[in-house]
Amino acid sequence: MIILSDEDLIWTELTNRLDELGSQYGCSFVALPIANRGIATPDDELARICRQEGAAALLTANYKDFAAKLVYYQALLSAGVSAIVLRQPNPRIDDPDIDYQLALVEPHLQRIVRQLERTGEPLLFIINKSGLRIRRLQDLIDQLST
Amino acid sequence: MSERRGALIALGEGAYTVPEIARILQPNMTVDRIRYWLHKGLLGEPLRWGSAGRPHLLSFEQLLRVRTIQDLREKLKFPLQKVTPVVEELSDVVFFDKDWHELRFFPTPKNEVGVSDGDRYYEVKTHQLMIPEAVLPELESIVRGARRDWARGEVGIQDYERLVSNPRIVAGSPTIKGTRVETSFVAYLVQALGVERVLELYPHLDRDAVLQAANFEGIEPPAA
Repeated sequence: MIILSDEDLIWTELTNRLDELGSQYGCSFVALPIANRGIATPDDELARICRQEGAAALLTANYKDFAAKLVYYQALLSAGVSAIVLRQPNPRIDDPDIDYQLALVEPHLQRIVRQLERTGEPLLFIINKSGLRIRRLQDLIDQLST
Repeated sequence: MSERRGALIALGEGAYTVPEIARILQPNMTVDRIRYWLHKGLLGEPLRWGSAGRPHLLSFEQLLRVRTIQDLREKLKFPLQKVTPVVEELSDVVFFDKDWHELRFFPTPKNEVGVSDGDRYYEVKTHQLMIPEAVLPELESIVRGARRDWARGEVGIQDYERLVSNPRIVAGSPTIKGTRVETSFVAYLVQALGVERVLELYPHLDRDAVLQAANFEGIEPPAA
């Protein structure tokens, strides 16, 4: 299984270390291809790129306005793209460098891989220091439309 | 464009909160002003009305409407009451219809304002708003600006030439031009890790773009 890092988390060392971590669960991490960096790849191209790369999910980060961003994640899921969102810490408390991102993913990666293998629908995985939450597209639509 | 399937927006469409539009249209736009215009009906129905803990969500077209109203108010001194019907008419007919070509405004014999693109003609009902002939070139320029940004699907951010909002990129969140990297995330990393580390993480970004993102988000880079 392949997980594709969006341009916000294409950090080479992070991708390499996530890839190492994922190998024990049959999961590879791949950064957004170089051809799609620095050209502002549109959101609606992401589904095609994920298919082209054979990616089961998109890895991205969120620091601000999570409530507003849910609409964007809902749109990703509607287009058939599962997303893994790493919510970022308060920079005064934690340093959000590579070790922090790895520590966010590590405890949950096995469960994420299993869910992605089993599911027939796109899912949103939200990870923060408190843990992992998994949301279905319909959950998001219900939440946004009520 | 993706299938919507009952969802609020499809991938490739933008969704903006009121504070985000105020930030994009800085320095003269305020959250209160946009909320007032929204509740007065000047911007049309939002994508979603907010409630406690859930922000109002507006479209890219509404972002351009906000900027147009702001320009009409500030540059042409149009009174708000009378801006409303004019903006509604222009929005529905010529701002966002790509079939219209380059627009020209001119006074009509009835003292209304005519709009033509050479092929077609439309008379704007100004509802007693007297638009002096002298301001028509400026009106033309404001409308052209809105149409240009609508057609290219992107707005620049004043004083930050490396930053843009494009509804197709991370749903319109301000980004470094030519990338999918949000200004808020870059600024956050600058605050936490410093500029040099951010440049290591994103070798395709340059210092000027990173500093503009930090500055736009109100972050002072820590001393090296």
